[in-house]
Amino acid sequence: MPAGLRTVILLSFVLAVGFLLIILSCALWQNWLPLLVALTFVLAPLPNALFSHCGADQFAADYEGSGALDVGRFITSMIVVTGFALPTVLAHANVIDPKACAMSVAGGGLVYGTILAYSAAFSQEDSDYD
Amino acid sequence: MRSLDTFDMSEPALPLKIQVETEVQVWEDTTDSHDLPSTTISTVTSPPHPQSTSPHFLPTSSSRTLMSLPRASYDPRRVCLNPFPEFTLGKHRRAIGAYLAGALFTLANWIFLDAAILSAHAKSPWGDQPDAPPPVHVTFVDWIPGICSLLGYLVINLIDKDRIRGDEGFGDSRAVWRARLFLFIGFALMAGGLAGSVTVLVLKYVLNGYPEQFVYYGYANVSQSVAMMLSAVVLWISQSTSSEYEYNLTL
Repeated sequence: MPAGLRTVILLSFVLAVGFLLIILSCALWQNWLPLLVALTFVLAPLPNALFSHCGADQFAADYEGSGALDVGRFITSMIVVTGFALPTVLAHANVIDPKACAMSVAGGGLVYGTILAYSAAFSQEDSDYD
Repeated sequence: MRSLDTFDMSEPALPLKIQVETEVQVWEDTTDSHDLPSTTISTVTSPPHPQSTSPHFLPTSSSRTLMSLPRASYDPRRVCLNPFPEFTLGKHRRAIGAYLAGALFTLANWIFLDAAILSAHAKSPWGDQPDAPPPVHVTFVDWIPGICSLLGYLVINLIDKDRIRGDEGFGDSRAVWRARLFLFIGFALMAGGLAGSVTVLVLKYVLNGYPEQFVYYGYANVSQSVAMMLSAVVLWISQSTSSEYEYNLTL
């Protein structure tokens, strides 16, 4: 339990640093377009979470044979790549500063990594209790 | 003869499972050195092994069936003389394929959107006239190959894969023909998109001798079509290998 508590505190710090990077990348150049990155990375695990209950049959669990799961993974991957590509494209077109692009990409990566790590740790604890 | 036939039909899954279980549990017993579970486990797991081999007169027959397990790799329904290589990424290969296909698909579209956004914000490449309009823009002609590739992508992925293979035996032989026709249309649309993007690159950008800043639009168009085709291939391979895996498991 202390290890889990430490993990939660560490992950919340990383999440706060990620949001800080994204908001700084917006506020330092007075251009609030990189805030879309935070939105995409927060939305990224949503399709996976929604569609993961569609194919969770005890007979289909071995094969992973559901098309709905694939749709969820496809859309999740689309949103993640969008989160990395959007600030790059904006910086390429000189709409935002390249440093703002780097900061928002790093912040978005931190936010999404936090979400992934948190869900992984949570599901592992769940399977231990089962 | 008949007993041998039934043995060959029903055997391939059983002795392999039993042997794995005995190995694992004996190993655990030697490490844990519990006396009572070891005796119970050995008495429980050892009987099925002689039972499975005893009706067949030869103790080496079990090892022979174990050695002849890869006969499942020969698929009598296959079309090509050299079958497609099997990718063994474990049970996550379908998930990895879906993620990779989604990433490639989005990357393709973002490359082209990058070119379009860059064209909308483009400045003139010559320094002495900073207000001169750029010589070329991304117009609707540049969008056509991407739209063709997108339509082909949708058509390919909306087809039921079992209909293509034609092994389900729905009694409708026209369905297989129609599914293959739609698959052909989908691949033709994707190949047409690729060819159209190369055509746009050559006819619109290279032959007119624009600077490198503007030829990039054409290259982005070609890489969009290529990445979308790669995405379709990755998705197709991941799903078809997964169905083969499922087929081998249910056999």
